[in-house]
Amino acid sequence: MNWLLFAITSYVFLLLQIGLKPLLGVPDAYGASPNFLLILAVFIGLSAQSKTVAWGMLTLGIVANLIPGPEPTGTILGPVALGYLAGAFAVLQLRTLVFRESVVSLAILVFVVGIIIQLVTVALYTGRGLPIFLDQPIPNWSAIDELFQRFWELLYSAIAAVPLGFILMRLQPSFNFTPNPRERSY
Amino acid sequence: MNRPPITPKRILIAAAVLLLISSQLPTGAATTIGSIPRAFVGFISKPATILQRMSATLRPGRAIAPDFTPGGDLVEQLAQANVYIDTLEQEILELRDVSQSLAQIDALLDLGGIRLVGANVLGFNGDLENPVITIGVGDKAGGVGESTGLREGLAVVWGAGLVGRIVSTSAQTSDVQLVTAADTKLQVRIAKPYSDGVSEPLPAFIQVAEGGRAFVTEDFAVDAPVEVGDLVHLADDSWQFRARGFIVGVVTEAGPHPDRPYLNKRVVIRPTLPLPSLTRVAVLVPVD
Repeated sequence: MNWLLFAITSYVFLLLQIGLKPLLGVPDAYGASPNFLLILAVFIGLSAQSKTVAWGMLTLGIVANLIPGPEPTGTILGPVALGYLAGAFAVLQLRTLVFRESVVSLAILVFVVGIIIQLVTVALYTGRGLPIFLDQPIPNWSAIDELFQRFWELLYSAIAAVPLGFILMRLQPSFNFTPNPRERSY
Repeated sequence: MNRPPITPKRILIAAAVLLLISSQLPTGAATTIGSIPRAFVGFISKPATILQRMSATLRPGRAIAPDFTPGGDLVEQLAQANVYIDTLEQEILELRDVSQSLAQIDALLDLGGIRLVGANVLGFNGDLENPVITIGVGDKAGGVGESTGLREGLAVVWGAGLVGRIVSTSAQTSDVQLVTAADTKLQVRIAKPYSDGVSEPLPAFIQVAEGGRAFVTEDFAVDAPVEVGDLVHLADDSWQFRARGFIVGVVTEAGPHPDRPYLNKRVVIRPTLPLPSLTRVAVLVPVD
């Protein structure tokens, strides 16, 4: 994979995620907005070599983790990044079942893989509040509320993945993804 | 055959284990670890503020007045007219909101010695820990920066509600840190929303909680006469004098403290204004 292009695209998507939130947030700036980094991560997961997918998605997960999260006093590094790592595993299992060059496949996988990422992320944040572990819950954290809100974000991201997918598919040759001959692709 | 001790797979597993440990560390240690990379990402994502400003200027779209030239398609013109009427109705509602807010400011403030500078909100940085909105007029006609007498520390309000304080100014725009920034602690007075002639405003210190969505105070005795619906007015010495009295929020929860239920009351206050999504604000500028 062309890691320089990956870095540039990641940076652009990070800026889009932060910068377009006031414009795309529904119903307001606190509301659901598309997760651009997730779309890029799933695109990488769908197209890159198996060995590269985990590293690419972990990197994007760490970046996504460093955007202000639910803990008001700072950033807890780990939950989102591990969610993306779990998403990498999931996308590797699922990508053999879909037509990889299709933006519809990308949109569907954004939604499905996003569910796995968010489940892992919410579970890890929730785990901090369990008495058998730290017993340090995130203030006003409700796993159900979070999952509900994140569901709408995933739906929005899946819709946004269609136009973005067209752009990413055009960039695909420049990413220089080397196909793995042992993997089956429809 | 000897395998090398460090392989990409082992590094990946080690990274996952470290992240898992980091995610389950006590909050203080976890946030300390996260602070350095967070600062780096915060620094490199600064150009996003330009995008935020553009987003904010793009969102409030205005419909173009329809063309009613004779000889045109009447059905099409009717459809255009209906859209235009809807737009005008929306603008009337917005102007009523502006008018109501200015009337509230007028009722709260003695406007002698102070000038109200109105501004559009051009962008929100999206950071709940350090929420900053950028204000300006949003076109090429002029700005609301240093050229209009704005400077750091001046209070920004909308209606009877407190929005925040100016933290930096340029020639055309100013950045306003919202009152819900993570480390904000305020001296306030909690009063009934109506005057019953008996209740006195209660002084209190409040601090931001719930990731910038609310304030809390846990100092009141359990029998203190604080109730849901009470209004919280600014009374902080460190703020501009003329901003005192503006409403910081409204009491939404007032119940026994979870750890000291027989001693203290925990009071939760939420801002009355949707601060990050405001479209207009006013700055209190002293007249020299």
